[in-house]
Amino acid sequence: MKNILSKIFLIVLTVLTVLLILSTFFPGAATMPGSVEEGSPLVKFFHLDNFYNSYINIGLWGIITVLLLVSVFTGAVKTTSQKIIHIVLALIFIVIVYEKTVNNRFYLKLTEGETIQFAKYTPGQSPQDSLAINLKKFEIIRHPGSRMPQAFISHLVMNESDTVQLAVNDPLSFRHYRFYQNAYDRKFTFNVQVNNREFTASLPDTISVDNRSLILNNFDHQTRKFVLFLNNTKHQITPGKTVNIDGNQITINPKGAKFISIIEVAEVKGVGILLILSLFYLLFLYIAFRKEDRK
Amino acid sequence: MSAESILLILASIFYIISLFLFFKQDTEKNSRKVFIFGLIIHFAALIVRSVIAKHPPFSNLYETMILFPFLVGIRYVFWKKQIPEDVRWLLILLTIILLGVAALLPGDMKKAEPLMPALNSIWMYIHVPAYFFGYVSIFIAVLYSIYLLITRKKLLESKKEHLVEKMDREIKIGFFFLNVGLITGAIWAYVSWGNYWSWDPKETWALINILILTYYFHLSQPNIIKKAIVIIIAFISILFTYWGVSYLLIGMHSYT
Repeated sequence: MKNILSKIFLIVLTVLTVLLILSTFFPGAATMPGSVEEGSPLVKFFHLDNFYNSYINIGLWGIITVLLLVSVFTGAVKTTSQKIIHIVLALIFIVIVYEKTVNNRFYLKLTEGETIQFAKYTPGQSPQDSLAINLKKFEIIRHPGSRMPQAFISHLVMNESDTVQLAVNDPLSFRHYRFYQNAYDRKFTFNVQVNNREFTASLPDTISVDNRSLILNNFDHQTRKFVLFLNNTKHQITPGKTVNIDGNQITINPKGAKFISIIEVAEVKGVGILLILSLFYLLFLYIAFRKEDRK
Repeated sequence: MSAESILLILASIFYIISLFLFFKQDTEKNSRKVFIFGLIIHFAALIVRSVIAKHPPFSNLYETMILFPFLVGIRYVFWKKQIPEDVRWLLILLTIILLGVAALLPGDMKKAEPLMPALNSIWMYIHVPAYFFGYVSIFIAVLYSIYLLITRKKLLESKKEHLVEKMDREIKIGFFFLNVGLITGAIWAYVSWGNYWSWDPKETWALINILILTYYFHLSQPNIIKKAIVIIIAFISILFTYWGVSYLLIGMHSYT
């Protein structure tokens, strides 16, 4: 029995290892049109372009979990510490599947001064755990005498009352959610004058001019001009210069920049158990190795 | 030339002299003494680097490439008896080669930079050393495996068993520390990015290394050849994780 289990385990382990190795060379091939890997039957068959979320990956880990448990309950694993290691590993894999299935993870892109409200929606139930987050200020602290950032800090106001700080490597728990400072971006704002009327816009943005849409598309860094569309016709405008387009006097001036804080919001059911199980695994791995060495 | 570079060159000179004495003299004693002197200078270079960069030398390829030979040297000096006499000189040679490779890295890569926010964490001080302790053990196990493969027909059975036991021990130490590295890395990623596992190429390859080493403990009718092959494959995989992934694959660990 032990030999059969061991052989099955090694076969599954070989397949999983080879597929994992290959998958690192095919990051999202199917999502890149025209890439060489697109349409490759082998890549498609093994889902190498999206292996981690594929049923093959989940299935192989599932088989390993079953084998770990079967090896304990059939007596294929002899010592107590080895039995515990096998059971703990199986539990770790089960908790990971549970955690990845049950917990929601999403990103918030908050511009300075902006408030985002979110809640948990379950079909047939009223929204739960509603939360309003306002980004009061985003701060970049730099190392003294260097341009290298030392910390990114979001100064947040939760539900219009609690002021909190969120920084990289310093997550924040609030209600049922956990917040992580993930990244940041900058949003540039512009003063757009159309026939003496003023608008504040960012890129991309749409302004309504006499029931027509003026689309501010992008800033071309090569020509150093704004690209905009009016009546589906493309125009380019130099910043600060007034241009006549279809009888409209249009001027665009840079106004300022605002930070956008990118925050990951996650639910954390099961993560604590995962941590405890991982520490147990390490402890019993150490005990098992020590015991074998003493023999 | 910086103080750190001068110290590293000095350390390398002592290591070269130590290697020379290893072969020139009948006893290893003098060679070892010179090597220890080199190691002290090497340690001073690491301290200087840490003071300039304001963090321990764990944060980029150059720093880990001057740290790794130091750890190899520590293993050689303090756990000499665990290493077969015939291959000890290889540890000295490796220390010299690695320092030489580190010296040849482009100037930009050697620049001491303060830590970026994501790296500014207590977990870095556990995660990175854990991996490097593991790597040193795996490297010593590779030396055992090559030595055993070459000499297996000439060696006495008792001597062979003794060496296999030592190789097993190194693999166990390596496996344990790779697991510590993986788990502390997952905790750090969770604290920093909100997700303990993202299938980032470096993470995936760290897992692949552990899966390959898992073979070692589940081999049916294990013999020297089977064990040696697994160790060598694991070592190649670790080398790819350390160097290849950073340059060939894009991921969240691009700075390593």
